[in-house]
Amino acid sequence: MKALKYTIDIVSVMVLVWGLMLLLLIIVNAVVVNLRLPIEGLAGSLLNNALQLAIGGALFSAWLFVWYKATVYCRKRRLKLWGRGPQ
Amino acid sequence: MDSALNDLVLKGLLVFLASFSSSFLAMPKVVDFSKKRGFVGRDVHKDGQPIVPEMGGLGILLGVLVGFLAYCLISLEVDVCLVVFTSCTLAAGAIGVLDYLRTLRGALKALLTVIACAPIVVGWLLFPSEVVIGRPELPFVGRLRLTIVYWALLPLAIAVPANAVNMIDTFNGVMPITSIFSVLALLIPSIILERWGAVFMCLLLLGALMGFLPYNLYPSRVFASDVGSLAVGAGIGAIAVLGRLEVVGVVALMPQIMNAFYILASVGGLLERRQIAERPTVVLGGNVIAANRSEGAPMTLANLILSRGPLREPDLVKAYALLSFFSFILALATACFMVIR
Repeated sequence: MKALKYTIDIVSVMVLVWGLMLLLLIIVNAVVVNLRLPIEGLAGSLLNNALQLAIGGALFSAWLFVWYKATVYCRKRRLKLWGRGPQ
Repeated sequence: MDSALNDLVLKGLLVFLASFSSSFLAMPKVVDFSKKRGFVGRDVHKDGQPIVPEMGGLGILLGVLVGFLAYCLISLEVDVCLVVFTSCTLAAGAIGVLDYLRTLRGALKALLTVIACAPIVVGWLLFPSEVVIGRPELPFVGRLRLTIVYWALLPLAIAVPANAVNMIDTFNGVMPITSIFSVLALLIPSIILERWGAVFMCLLLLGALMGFLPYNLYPSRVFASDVGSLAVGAGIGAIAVLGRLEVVGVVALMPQIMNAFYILASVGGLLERRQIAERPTVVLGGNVIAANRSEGAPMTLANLILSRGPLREPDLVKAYALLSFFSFILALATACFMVIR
């Protein structure tokens, strides 16, 4: 039970990160992969791939950012609780 | 059960037993060898910092190798995927030996682990029908056909798990316990999806880890050192790639990846532990460990767990085990989403 008390909010972060990862995969597959620029030829194809890569990369970075911020918030909250608890 | 399935179960059981018994029985010899050669380190999380033999990872490597040979002898054939898996594991283990003897810089070690994916590339070049890569399966989405992107990410498929498992190996029993849950999270989907090659790889690694576990539990009689942790991480990465369970592998390794991500984000790069000025935890009296509350302390998973309050080492290890259990459940759910579309 002690281990559960110490891990429950880390598990919440874990579930959040996991859920966002699945959501990200669905968005990439449903939206990003189907993006098409109205430019024909090799240049259009290259620009299209670059755009998909940039949007995919931005979404991935946002995911990492949310993950990090959620962890920092969780740690601060836990440190506060530790300070309030019996020493 | 039909005879083919009976045969697979029997083979699996024998491979597991060969891997487990060789790792378990070799460990006292590895302990003696480490002591004789001076391959020892201090257990810094205990009062008096007792000296503990290292290089326990050699026993894990032996377990994997004997299990692989047992498979070849039982089935009278050489499975290419198992050869690739064993080669990746041994290559990462060799890098671990080099790191132990020469103390490589963090970035160089990470770069060297990229080389451990070479057996996968060679296997794919020589036996493209057996070593199928570039077709990962995603939950809800199904099988993708990636070419350039997959090849660009392939070096990370071994280097990331190898270094992530290496980074989590900080307390007695944490590496084998968390890795056992990760391997189980790959084993069950492999059985459900009937990927028998991946099943045997999981059994090889599981046997070797379970043989090592009793010696590494609190209070540790031997440490795996980089030899064991890099090899185990590379093995898990190889199973994920060869079994086409990449996303399940990522979820199964969540505690290890979380720990590595927090360290990289808070320290700001790949640094060797001796290069980090502050420790993430502090040892209080009576084998009690607390989080280092300083702003400059690296934010590891241990630091995060202990930010709720100090714990004794066995309780801290239980918290790691619980996190691994939850990631095991999430990995199984991910595998279910791969099947149910």
